[in-house]
Amino acid sequence: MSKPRVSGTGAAHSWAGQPLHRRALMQRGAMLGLALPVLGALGTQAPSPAAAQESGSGGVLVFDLGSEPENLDPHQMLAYTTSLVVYQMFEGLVRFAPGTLEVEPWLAESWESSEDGLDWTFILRKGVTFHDGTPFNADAVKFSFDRQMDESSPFYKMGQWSTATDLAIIDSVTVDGEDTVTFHLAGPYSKFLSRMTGALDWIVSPTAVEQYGEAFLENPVGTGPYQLDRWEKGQQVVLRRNETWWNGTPGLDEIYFRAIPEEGARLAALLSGEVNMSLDVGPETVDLLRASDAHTVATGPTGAIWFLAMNVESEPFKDVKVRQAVNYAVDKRAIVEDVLRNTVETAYGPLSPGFEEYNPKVETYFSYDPEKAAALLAEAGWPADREVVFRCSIGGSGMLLPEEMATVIQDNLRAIGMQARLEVTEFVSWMDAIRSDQNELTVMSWNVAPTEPDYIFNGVLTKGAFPPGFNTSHWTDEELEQLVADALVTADPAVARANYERAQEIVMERAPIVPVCHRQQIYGYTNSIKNFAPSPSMMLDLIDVWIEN
Amino acid sequence: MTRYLIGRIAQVIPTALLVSVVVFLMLHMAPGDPVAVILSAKAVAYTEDDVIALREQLGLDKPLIAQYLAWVGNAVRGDLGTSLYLRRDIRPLLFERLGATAILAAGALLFALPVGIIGGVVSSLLKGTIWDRLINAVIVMGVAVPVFALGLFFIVIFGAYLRWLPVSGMVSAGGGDFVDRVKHLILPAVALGVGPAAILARLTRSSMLEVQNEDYVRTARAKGLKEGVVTWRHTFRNVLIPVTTVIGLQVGFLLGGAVLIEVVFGWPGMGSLIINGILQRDFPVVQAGVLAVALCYVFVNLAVDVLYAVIDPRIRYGA
Amino acid sequence: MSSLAAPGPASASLAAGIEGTARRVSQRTWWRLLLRDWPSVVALLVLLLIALAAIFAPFLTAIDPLTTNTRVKAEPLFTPGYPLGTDQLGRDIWSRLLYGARLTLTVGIAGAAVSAAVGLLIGLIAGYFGGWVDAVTMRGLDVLLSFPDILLAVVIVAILGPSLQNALIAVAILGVPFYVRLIRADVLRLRQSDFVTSARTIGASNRRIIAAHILPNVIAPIIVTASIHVGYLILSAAGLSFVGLGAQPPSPEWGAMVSSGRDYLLIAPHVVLVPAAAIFVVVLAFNIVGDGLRDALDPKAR
Repeated sequence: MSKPRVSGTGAAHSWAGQPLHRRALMQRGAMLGLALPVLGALGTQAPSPAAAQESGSGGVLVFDLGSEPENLDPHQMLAYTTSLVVYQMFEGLVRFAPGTLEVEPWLAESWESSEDGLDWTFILRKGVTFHDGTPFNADAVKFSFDRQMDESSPFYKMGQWSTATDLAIIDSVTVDGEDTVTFHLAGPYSKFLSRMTGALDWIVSPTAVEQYGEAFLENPVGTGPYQLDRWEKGQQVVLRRNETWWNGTPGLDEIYFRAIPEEGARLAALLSGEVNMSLDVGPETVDLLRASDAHTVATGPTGAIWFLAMNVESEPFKDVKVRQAVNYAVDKRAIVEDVLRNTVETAYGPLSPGFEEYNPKVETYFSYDPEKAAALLAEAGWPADREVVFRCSIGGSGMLLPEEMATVIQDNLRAIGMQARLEVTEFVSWMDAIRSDQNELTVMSWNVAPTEPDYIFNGVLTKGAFPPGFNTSHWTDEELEQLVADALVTADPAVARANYERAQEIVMERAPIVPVCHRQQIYGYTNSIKNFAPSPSMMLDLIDVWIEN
Repeated sequence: MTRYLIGRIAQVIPTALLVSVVVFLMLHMAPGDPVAVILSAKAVAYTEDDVIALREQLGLDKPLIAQYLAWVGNAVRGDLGTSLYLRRDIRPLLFERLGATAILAAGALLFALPVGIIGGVVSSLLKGTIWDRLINAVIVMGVAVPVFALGLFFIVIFGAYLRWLPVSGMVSAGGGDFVDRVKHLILPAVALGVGPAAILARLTRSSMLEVQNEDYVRTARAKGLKEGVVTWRHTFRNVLIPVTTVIGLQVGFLLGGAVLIEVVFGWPGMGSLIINGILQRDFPVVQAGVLAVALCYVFVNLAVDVLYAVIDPRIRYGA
Repeated sequence: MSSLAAPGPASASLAAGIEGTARRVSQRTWWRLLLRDWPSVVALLVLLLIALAAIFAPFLTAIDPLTTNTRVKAEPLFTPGYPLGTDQLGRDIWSRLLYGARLTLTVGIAGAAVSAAVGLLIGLIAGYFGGWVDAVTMRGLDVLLSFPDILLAVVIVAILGPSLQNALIAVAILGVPFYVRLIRADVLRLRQSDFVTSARTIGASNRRIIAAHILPNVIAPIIVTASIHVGYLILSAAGLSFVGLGAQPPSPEWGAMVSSGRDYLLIAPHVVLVPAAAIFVVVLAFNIVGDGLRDALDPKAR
């Protein structure tokens, strides 16, 4: 059992989700690369060869995603699970080195930025071709961005670029030669480089887009280590090794991505060898797999947070004392140890300890203390007959076991004299309901890699994220807004860090949320799979993975 | 009889039209602005402009009648629209899923028919014995089993413990030959077929008993025909009628009832398509899916009624 | 009115086993016949016990069905203090089963009652008045019957929103056509009968004819249909709860118990097995009683 625990800065995704089925979670959202605060850095080193503990190659990986991809275009996909498939076929100019959150050159060999940090010039790797034989060059790079950003491009009309707003930091892309491309930014942006690792920045084959048009969604062509063999709809996506890959020979012969929705069936399939690797198996399944001699469970960090959002504009939660009472009332130990079997980490603040900016002071604010909670509630003059509506979804991305967790919390609240009526609905209805002004109390889950605090703060805790965004607490604080805004454009990493540390304290002082736990990446697999480790970037690195017969 | 058949066939058209109206209205009766709900489902913040744009794209800015006519007109021409979530043309999607459901339903019937008929015939021939009682007990229980729980237990027993059969999907990774497909079909088809088998056995038994007392069977017996010949030549032919009825009924049950089994076994059929469509607020898919299933059912009913008329000369037709 | 008069063989899935109920048995003797059928007696007793257990649930368990205690989650059967073990949240399964029986029985019985009442009304009107009223009604029902049942329930619930109440409405709507067909056919026959004709000639009003002559004669087939229908309703509602469209957590409705416990299937099968078995037993009992009733009311079918 390996348990890599890498912390540091790095890439992030933020997504909420779409349900395929009760717990087969589709995860939706912006696949965003985030940045190391290196301005004007010059990268020239070769890509790091992954340290192979056991050499070998070959084998067929059968990977259970839990839900089928909606499409295979890196610029249009919606679900996190889909990104794991697409990542095998596409590459960006830079990437996070395996097992770390360090940005390293990838399709670009080197880069430099202008004094003011507004222009970034990349020198591209030569001799790279797409799966369809199209040469990779500066035109292809520009093409990949223009199809999402340039409304006058004929290819712009062929898609829905619902996450492309995240490219707004880029003003334009210019071709400065066959192998040179420059990005002109709209303003200074401290995290540009690690943003460039994200899915929106992966390069697609212009010829294939022209050839397939809208059907590129099903016919993805990139430069990655694996390429699409076939997509048997409703059954499986089949990838095969890219024999002409520019950086060596990828380990696996074939990869089958399958989608098994039922938890019991997922486990049965893993035990019987129908599949040999499963993503995010349930907590009980983890226990069972850990007890098995033939299987391994590997966990990796995330920057995700599962929390309670209290609408500070609603009558029940106007008073900070009530919000503090709820913070004292929730028995996180019961949730983390008993319900989730320690497959998650207890949360004390908005950021997980995986973030470099994590402020340990958040741990001092609240502990489980029902007496204190009841006292605070009484102090706030809570009417005994008041009932709050507590919303919960039956599934959804990163929601873990929402019904079970919410039921424990409902019970915790009842113990301090707060009656909460649990309204459990399916995912989309829930998403609709929690973004209404009438929303009072809801469970929430926000999924990012532990790279950029901005995706937490600007995702769920600032004015910009008020509904229809996901600040379902309707909470805003002037000081925090300023700190977060400054951190994003400052050239000084120390300033950014100090700002984020203070921001975490403000959140806990004003208590608009109850942080409950931080999800982990969980992979269950058979012991025949070699060289696999979860990545802190939350991507699925399969280049050096192979399977023993 | 020809008149009956023509009348029965003519009846399909107004029914089909009404079905389409109901399907269309059903989704317009859902509370809330569908556009806002669809945008909510995408989990990214949206603006008023997005709402207007999507409303136009879906044609929801037009009057209801115009929307209906446009929808039906397109559907008749084979254009069922595009899935909002999967971004695919719905028509090929429907064909894939209908195919999968048809395979599952056929598998279930393939199990239910022999088991049900043999069970019913044996039980009727052994009327009053302990075997008859035993079969009857099994029949009564078969109807009472919650199909989803049965599916779950199949997964545990045959998938996790015995590891005899695959538990999810239609093919294995790298598989897809006939044997592989059959293996995937067995568990869901049997789970789904248990109920229909029980109903069939019960009906077969009671019509066998009924027929055995009819005059012509008694006459045949009196003429000295051997019992086996009597059974097969005279009674069994009449048993075809309830069997046909049940097949018709069960096709409807299988088309719709397969929903639960498809969910449990990850079977990519119509049921899971429609459920996912509902959960993802993919209205065009739900509309097209429900319409397709309902129309299939209308035509199956028609086919069964026609068959029924052919098999059973005793039915009087016409007013 | 040609084909509609002939019972559409393909469209009465529920009615499959319950056609042809005769009323040759006097109102006083049918229950004696029923009580002579031992499976029916056992089933009746089981149902009675379950009903009593549901009513007196608070006296049979001291534990609240909703109280969680994650320290004792998924305890096995016969754990001291938890006769049927605990579920995934440490709730007492015995207690949940008792309180859930209230919901499950209510769904079945109320659903059948609503279906029967609405079906009776429509069937009476269609059958008695005939003509275009009948034609319109029956065509409407044909449309309703064009949707495979669970699927229609799924769509209805999708529109109304998932809850046990809406699931009940959905499955009750599904049942209506069967009662309508049954009652309409009877009414059509009765309308031509001597006693109705003579009542009419002496100037009895429509209301009086229906109330005095027709209603009493259609009650028996309704009871038989309803007794089998209850089991079917319980199964359908449990199915809806299973896919998340019926009772919502933390409700101890039995289908919802199966659904919310299913992730523990391999670790603690009893969490699923117990409520699934409860559903099975209740449905079985209702079916047996229904069969017994039919046999008692129609001796020819024995």
